Amino acid sequence: MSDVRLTGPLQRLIEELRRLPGVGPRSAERIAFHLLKTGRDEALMLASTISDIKEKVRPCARCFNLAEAELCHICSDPRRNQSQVVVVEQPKDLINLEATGLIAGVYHVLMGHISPLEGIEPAHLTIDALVDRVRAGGIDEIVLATNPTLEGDATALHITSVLHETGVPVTRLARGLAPGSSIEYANRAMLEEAFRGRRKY
Amino acid sequence: MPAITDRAIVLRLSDYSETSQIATIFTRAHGLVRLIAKGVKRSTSKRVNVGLDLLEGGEIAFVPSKAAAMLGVLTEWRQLTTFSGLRTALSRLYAGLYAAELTSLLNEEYDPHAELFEELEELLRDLDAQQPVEPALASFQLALLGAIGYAPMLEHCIICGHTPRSEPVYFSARAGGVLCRDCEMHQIEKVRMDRRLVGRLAEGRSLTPELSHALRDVLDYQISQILGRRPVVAASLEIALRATGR
Ligand SMILES: [Zn+2]
Ligand SMILES: [Zn+2]
Repeated sequence: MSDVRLTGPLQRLIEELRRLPGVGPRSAERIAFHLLKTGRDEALMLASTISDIKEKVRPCARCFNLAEAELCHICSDPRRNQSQVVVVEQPKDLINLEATGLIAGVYHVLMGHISPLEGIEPAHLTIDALVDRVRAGGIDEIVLATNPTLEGDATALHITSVLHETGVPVTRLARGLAPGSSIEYANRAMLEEAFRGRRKY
Repeated sequence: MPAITDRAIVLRLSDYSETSQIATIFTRAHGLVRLIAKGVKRSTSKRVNVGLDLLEGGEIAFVPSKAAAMLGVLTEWRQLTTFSGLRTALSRLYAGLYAAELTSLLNEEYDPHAELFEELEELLRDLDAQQPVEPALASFQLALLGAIGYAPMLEHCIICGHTPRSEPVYFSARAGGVLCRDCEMHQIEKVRMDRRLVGRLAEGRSLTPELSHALRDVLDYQISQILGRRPVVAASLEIALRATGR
């Protein structure tokens, strides 16, 4: 297939598609040829949708979730409990937590995690904005929902230390045994976390 | 080529694609290895029981790289410990990351140092067990410098062999040790150091927290000179030590 000389625009499209996550050379060609034979309106609709996400989607001014207006749909929802703020690393984590339907509060998206070895420091995240939010008042609980990885833990520890002086209670998601797993096959780290995080039953 | 198994500690992870990472891992019998870990981020992956994480200890199976500067392939990872106690304070967490950074920067791939592996494990265990950070880190840094042939002479002047009796006392990375007042003019590259530290080390006595910090300063200086720059975790570690105790 790669021996065949394709015309300029088609070749460019294939190259652009190949840069997308999970798209290999075969899939890129399949998608490109599909778009070539698809109706003009349908193809232009896709192009304008792509342009919309770059022009209309922006970070929420309060929580940094993806938003189409000044505030995202969660921050602007009057039914949400504005006094509980769930702190996540990225918008994808927010979407997954939101899908549980359990969270009545609002969010704060850090846009990453602290990663000293990769040169990502607290100043690169939205931690300052979180501290400003807490200082502004009206918040009773900060729920840290960073990943249970070393860098997620570093981020949680850092946030806990900078929020200490505000006196607002900070909690962290539980960790340990996954539902459906078994103690027999759990490794030591999971068992340690589960034992340390045990609660009254 | 069949996979090799070994004990291992994860030093560094960087994203390679949606589903794979490049892992820098220190193994007991094969030294530093750089491996591509495919599918580790997928929760359904069967080969790797949980996603790899930094500063975990475990058992590894991997296919080594065929040539220098190429990546080997991680085929199995069995997590044994996360040294979870070091994740309870930033100073301990950054001390662990700093040790990981130094280990990955100062070792050659496939150049084994079993004794250094044990030292790194011991440091992580000490941090896990909430031992004071700086003495544990200093003793790891000394072991690391020794393993790569840069053990500093800290007990007496490296030029005249005497124990310095008066201030000022210097340390030179180029000379590889302490310089007394009479010998310091022979070296341009040098920093002042605490004379009491030399005395304590010469007598083989244990260090006060203040002198452990002074020792770490000297070792950090030497390491920065060897690398030609300051390690990236050094600044975060210093801030955390100041805030949460040494
Ligand atoms: Zn919002
Ligand atoms: Zn001398």
